[in-house]
Amino acid sequence: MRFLRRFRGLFRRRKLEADMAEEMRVHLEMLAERNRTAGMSADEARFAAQREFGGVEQIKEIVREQRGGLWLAQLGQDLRYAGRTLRKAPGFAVVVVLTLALGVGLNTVVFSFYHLLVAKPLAARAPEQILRVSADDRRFQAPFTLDEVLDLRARLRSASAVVASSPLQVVLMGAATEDHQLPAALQFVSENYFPALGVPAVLGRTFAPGERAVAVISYDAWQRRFNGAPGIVGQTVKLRGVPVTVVGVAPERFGGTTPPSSADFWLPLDEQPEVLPNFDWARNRSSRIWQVQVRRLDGVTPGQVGAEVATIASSWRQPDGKPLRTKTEVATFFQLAGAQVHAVGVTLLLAVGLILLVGCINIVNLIHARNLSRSQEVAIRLALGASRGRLIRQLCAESLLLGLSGGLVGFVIAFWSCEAIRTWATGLIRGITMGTWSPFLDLAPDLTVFGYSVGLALVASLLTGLRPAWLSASVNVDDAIKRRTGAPGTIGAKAGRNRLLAVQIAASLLLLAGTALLLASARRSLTTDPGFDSHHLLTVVAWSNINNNVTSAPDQLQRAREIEERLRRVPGIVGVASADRAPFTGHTSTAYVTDDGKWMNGCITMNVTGDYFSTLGLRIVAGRTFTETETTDAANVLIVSESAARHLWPGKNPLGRQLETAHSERDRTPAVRYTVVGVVQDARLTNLSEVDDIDLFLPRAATAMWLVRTQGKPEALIHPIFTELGALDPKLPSQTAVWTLEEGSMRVQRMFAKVPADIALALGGIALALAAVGIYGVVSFLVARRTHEIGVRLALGARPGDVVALVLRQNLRAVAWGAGMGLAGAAGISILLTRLVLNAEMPDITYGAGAFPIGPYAGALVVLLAVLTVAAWLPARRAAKVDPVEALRAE
Amino acid sequence: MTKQKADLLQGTLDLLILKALQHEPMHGFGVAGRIAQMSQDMLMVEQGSLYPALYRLEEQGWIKAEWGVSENNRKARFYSLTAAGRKQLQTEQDSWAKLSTAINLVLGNV
Repeated sequence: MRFLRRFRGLFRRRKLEADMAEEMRVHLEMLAERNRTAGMSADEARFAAQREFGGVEQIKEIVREQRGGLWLAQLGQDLRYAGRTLRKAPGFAVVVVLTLALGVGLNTVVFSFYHLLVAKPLAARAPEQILRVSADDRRFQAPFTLDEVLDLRARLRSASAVVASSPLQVVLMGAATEDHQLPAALQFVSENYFPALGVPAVLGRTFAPGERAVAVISYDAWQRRFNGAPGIVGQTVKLRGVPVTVVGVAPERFGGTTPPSSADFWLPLDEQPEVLPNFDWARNRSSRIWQVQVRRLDGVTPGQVGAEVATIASSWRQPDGKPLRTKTEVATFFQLAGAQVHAVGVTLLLAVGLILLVGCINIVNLIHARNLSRSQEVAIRLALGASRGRLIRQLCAESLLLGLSGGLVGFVIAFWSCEAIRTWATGLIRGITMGTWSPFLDLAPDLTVFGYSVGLALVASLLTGLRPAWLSASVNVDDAIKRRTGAPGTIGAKAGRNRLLAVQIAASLLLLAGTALLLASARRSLTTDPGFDSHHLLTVVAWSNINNNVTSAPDQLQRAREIEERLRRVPGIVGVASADRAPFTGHTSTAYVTDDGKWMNGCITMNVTGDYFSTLGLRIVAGRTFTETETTDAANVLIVSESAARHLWPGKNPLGRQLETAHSERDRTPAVRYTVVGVVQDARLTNLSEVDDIDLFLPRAATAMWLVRTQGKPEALIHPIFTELGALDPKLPSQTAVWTLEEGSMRVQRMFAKVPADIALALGGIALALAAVGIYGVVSFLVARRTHEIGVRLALGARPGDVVALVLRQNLRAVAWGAGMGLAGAAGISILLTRLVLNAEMPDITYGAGAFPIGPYAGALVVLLAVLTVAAWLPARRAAKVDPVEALRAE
Repeated sequence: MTKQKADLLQGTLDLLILKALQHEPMHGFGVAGRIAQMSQDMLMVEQGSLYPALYRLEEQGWIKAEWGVSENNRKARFYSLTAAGRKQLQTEQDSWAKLSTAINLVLGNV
């Protein structure tokens, strides 16, 4: 009722205004009449009445303000007014909006990534109901065996569905013609996968129960490989030679449940033995490869589901007799929420937050200078009856309008940038991995991201608007109207500006220090020696023969032998070795037990031939390499790296010692013991930034990848290799990829150091530019305000140099404070990051630079001081050129 | 005329206005005059507080305003008590009586 009355009041405003004006006019007349009756002249009577009555407009304003519903009307009024005044100052408006848009845009891009990694839900129906269940191995979250999945599905009451999905597997896909086969990523899923996740096909349908030889294609693969042709549904494709009918296309935003990679094809789980006969995921019930998601029932909490899962899992027998611990959590896109991800994410958010801060301080100074030139207008409005509160609100409305515009433009910028980054990253990764890996990054902004942008813009606009508005509204009406140059709160404002300047300098220095650190790392990554000569190495991959399983079919082994022979025949090739992985292309780590009973996790195991070490150029420091027989027989011998020997048998001779696979107690797998026959020098084979901890090499011939050492430039041999392979089989060249180690996996490694450095350089550059603009603005402003004084000084004989020094000295303290705070902050963050990020789990992207490298930090400080000096010197020089006569006359 | 002062006076001023309007409708000038007259010129209501108070009381529904013609043949806005206003006047008078008794007791003036 009360609200209604107020609401109606909005529309009765016109009547109220008329009533008030008339009523007060009448009152004044009555007063005047009374005065006349008391004997005053007409004029006297009127003035006396006005004196007695007071400010008509002030009274009206009080009446208006106490009408509650009015704030809405006032806000509209203020915003309209702000719009009008800003249109009169387009330059100012554009600079502020762009500064804010840049800051908000940068922040939104970083937040989009952070949100994607940490919290973005799956692109599925009611994603909050989908839980991810994993076997919790403390160090990592392991998947389940098919037996366990089936048991869970049979017994779990608190969930409406249990879905399972396999790891991705790359096979060759051929459409109509056999000749053009391309690698494609497959994923086997339980047949309820799509309906249970609530992901409908955008074209065609998903799997029917019990269906075989069918596949659902990803939207991306459909677009990329079939140009989005609608005829894809019902089409038969050959996956590793097995014909499979495509029944549907998955939605564009669905990238599967194993991000960041998306499968190109999803196949029913039962189809696995057909398409991948060398694996036994579906048959051998002990392979722990199935990732599980469940959809909880309405009214059941994730905790209850977790408890039921744990109960069911406790009945599963484990090889080592220990109970299987499980973890159940709400499924998000990436399922990453570790301390390291948060540390990196928050650091980046802080970095871009600092840029927004530096930009905001510039805006504060701009708004302040603008308000100062409007102080007369403000004073007149105060005199005419505007209350100070109302004036502050009005000035803030302007900031609000600018902030919202900046936020929206920033959001659009972020949207485009995310799209560009996604396209760039996807293309890059696809190119480097020769199309075997299709990363899926769902960077499309959702409501959370939009809310973050707008919220940030609002906070920024309030922060920038409030203080100048306050200072401006606290103007002394008398002074401001009389003296054209009336300065509201000049002294306080100056101290405030210097503090803001110090904050700007500190923030820029913080970013520059980080930039310097990362640049130094990137430079070091270029010169880092992996421990072998990487400049004369080629990687040859024959997709047609791809098979990670070393005990493969005889025809594949035969073909591999033929390929290797052909490679050896190419003139200029001095070494050929097969390996299951090229250096720096990821690794498999396994747990082993030594003959001393020592359990060792995280042993990097590679399957190589005896020529591997000589081809790479790694020295055997003790013992010998593998013999040919050992490789053909897959003998149970191994070669360890020097540091592996140190870790496994400290202070003892490793030759002749034994290692046993740690999962040997598992019922179906027989225990395997390996004897050490050789020790090889340490090298960087996993991360370019550090020497591998524990490298173990087993004598096994892989069938699809070779490392080739060349005498001259490796690029020159790519063509001859293709010719030679074509002579073996005309189809082979189209199914083979050859690239140099430097241009392939090592380039990726260097990118790990270079991309962060490039990003930091861009951010540091922006911050530095903003800080330079800031100090330039502040010094110009001070010079402009002190023109008169400078004129007097010059007239009294001060030299131009003295004037420049005088102006520069004003900011010395701010610069010193800023630099101090910046360096302290940089040191603090460095230490924090070292604690959180630079541990064994992550590659050391600083390449051993450590927490507080003096060199880069000093460099950052020098750059900052140089830029700031120039920025301050330009306006200071202008001050020295002041003509004393002109300056004095100007007052 | 500052806000704080108006707030302090608010309760009393409302009571005085309601009381002034108890017997007959009156315009703003008349209300101010009546209050001065009733208090033997001890209470002078500033116009700066009077009109905001009048509009506030009208908003609350205790008084209503109508345009009429004054004794001097001027068009003026006349305020009169509503039923709710009469009740409010009674309530405020009672609570004022209680308050002043209490304060007098404290000050030992009885």
